[in-house]
Amino acid sequence: MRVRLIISFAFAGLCGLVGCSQPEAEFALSEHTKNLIAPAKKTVEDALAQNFGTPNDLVAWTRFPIEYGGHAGTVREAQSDDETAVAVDFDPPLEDEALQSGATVRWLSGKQQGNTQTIASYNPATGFLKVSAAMDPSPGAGDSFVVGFGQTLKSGRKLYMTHCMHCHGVAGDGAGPTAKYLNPRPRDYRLGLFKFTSTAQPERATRADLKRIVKQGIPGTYMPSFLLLEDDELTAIIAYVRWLACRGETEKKLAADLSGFYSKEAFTKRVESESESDPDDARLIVLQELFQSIGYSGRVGSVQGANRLQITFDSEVQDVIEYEQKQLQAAITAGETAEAPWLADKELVWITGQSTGKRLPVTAYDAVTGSLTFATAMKPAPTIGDRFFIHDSEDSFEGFIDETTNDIADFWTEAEDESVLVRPTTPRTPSSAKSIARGRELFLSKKVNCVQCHGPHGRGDGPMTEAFQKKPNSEEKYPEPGLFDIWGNKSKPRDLTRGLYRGGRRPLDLYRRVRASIKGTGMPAFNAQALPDKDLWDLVNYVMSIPFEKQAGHPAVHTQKPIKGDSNSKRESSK
Amino acid sequence: MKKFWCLFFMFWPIIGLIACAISPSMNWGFPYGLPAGSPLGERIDGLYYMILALVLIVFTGTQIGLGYVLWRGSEETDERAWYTHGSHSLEVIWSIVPAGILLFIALYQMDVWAEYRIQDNKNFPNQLETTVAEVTARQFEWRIRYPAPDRKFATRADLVTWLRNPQSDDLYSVNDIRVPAGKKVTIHLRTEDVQHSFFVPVLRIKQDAVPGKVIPVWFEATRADQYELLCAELCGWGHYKMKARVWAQSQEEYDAYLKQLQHDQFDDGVSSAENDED
Repeated sequence: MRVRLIISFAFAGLCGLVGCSQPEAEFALSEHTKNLIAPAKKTVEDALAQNFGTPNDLVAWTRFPIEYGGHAGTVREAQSDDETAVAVDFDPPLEDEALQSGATVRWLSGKQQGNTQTIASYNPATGFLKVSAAMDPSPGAGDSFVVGFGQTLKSGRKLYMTHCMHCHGVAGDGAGPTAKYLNPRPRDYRLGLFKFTSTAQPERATRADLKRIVKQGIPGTYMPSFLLLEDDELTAIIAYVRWLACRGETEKKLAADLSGFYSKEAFTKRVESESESDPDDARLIVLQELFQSIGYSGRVGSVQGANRLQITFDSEVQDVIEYEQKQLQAAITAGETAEAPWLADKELVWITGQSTGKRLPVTAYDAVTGSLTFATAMKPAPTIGDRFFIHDSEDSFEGFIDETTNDIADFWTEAEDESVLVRPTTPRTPSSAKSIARGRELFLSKKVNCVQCHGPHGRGDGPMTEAFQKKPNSEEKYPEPGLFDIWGNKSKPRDLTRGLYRGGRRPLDLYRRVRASIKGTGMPAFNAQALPDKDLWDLVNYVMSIPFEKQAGHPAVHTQKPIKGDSNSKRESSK
Repeated sequence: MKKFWCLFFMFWPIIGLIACAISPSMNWGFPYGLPAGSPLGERIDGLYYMILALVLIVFTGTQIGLGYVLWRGSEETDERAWYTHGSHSLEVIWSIVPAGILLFIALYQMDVWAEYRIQDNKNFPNQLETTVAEVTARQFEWRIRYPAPDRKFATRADLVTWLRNPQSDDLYSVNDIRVPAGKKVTIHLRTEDVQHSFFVPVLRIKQDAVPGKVIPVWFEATRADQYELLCAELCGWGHYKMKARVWAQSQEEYDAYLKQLQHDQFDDGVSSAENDED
């Protein structure tokens, strides 16, 4: 009896424990990445892990224009007698309680660049900052640093996981657990694209655009309003969303670059096309090309000295290396080439471990013993199992990652530029029967052609919604009629009779929907040549009158009452 | 030891008495420890105290009876126990007394309920004068539609027309209901999808939003303050997100707010560049 009791208690306890453990959050890979052959996929995964980290261990890559948070400062004066202390200035000046001991200092410039120390104490009166370990070499005057770097990103993640994740997904891929029940689908950030922006056509969304959407919600969709979040919480969420967008776009571009040659299908096809050699060699020839671009990856077997390592290459890499050695040997025997030390003049880059990101020139590799020699000593020394790759520093995949991420960073920086902001130059024409009639004419005209999608009465039932559309960049058509957005979801032209405006109901918002377009959808952008401001305001006046038409297609006869306090009526009366 | 149990059981009614005596000054048992923010809420709190007093009397009486029995039992150890097979009159008494109390509570609270819910009640405000907004609950937010500040509802038909047909000069906001403080106001509650519940704990207001119905809800916030509005009906996975605020402001501030809202909503981006950001 007692045994049975103990067993049942133990079982219940075990169930309880199992139930309590939380699954570790992880960034899901995109379909493109998953479809790459194993070594190519591993490269994308490594690049993402190194530059963005995991949901529980974020890496704030300063390349992207994102508010990672923290208090910035510069060194006022180095202390020659004390290697753990510097006199510093914070910009803006710090409040007393803002800096606690235990916070971290991250150096952005100077001799300590890239290093991190823990704060032991800070005296706001004298600006005297003490860290817990000696700094060698000590930073010089003018060196900049950040304290508590990444605070904003971290709190953004917490808020995102609470409020956004269940629809938008851990990786911002719009595939959270509740996403599949929603129509329209939650936004997938990984294209870096947001629909409702205040910026001209190809440009990204601004922070203000994202903030507006988070605060106001999107009527007609499942995006609710988060109006009551504090301002710093909004800033943090938006920083995190932008960071996820950068991460997703990086992944997308890397996978797209590799999938041309190294997706599972492309790889099989290329192996088949190498018909001259035997199938085993054909596979190695194609892989060789891949490794020459992404590098020969492996891990540390043992450390044999300050500048000597015993290493193991990944199994596929090892196959290619053996093949290369064989080829080299054959060429030497045939007298075609003199013996060249293999792998010399290449560079080793650490992917994991203490020296992640650091690089070392390789002087020699012994294929028999697997020992690798460098010209300089490794500092800090690697540990067993640390991963690395060896590549030619010119024309490598690493260079492509650099270019790609720089481009992405530039896009986001550009979006904040005043010059890409869409803003009317002429004020709105006061709504009148005449203006509305002109607007309707434009709505029906060949030039503007709203009818194609929105239909003659603005019900969102134009002929385009009945036609089969082609998929982007292909001749293949969608299996069902209607318009699709860039995310591959069916996108219905707005029914304008309902008076629900997803991007906002201000005249300015409607103006921007026409001038800046709705990004990623079939809604085109009309520039000032195609549709001058005056015409556009007529169109906006017509669109705003549609929900109030007495009879469809017949603009309401009464004019809109001028509204007290409305800027338009004020301007009119001042004339 | 026998005496200990007598004292133990007599200890609790004393604690109960003390707790009930200081409870009103501490606002114990009320949301956020705040007194009611509306006159109707104060009357609802009055009902609460009435029930608290009844419970206290019954509890103390029962405990004293228990204490008496225990005390006597401990004193007169020689007395033999006696057995009873029930007493008809006693049963009648202990059925009728609680029933009477329940009937008393039911009748006593009717006034307050009628004032809150019965539209024919003399205290139920005139909807034509007090309507401030239509509030639409939806998964998972509160969307608010205000009539234009100069719109007056002259007849019942006017109000019904406005409720059925959004107008071009209506003002919209989300998760932020502004009302004038110190005045009876009416909102018209509806839902776009499932059942929700409009719950403002401090104003002691709770009303379900039922699909297909437009329900007038009136309240009066005495203090100019921000009050938390929650959804009190489990409405789906995002139920916890449905937090908004009811913000009672002085008449001037309220008018200024509506004016600003109107200005922002008809912004064309030229006349008021500074409003663009949020």
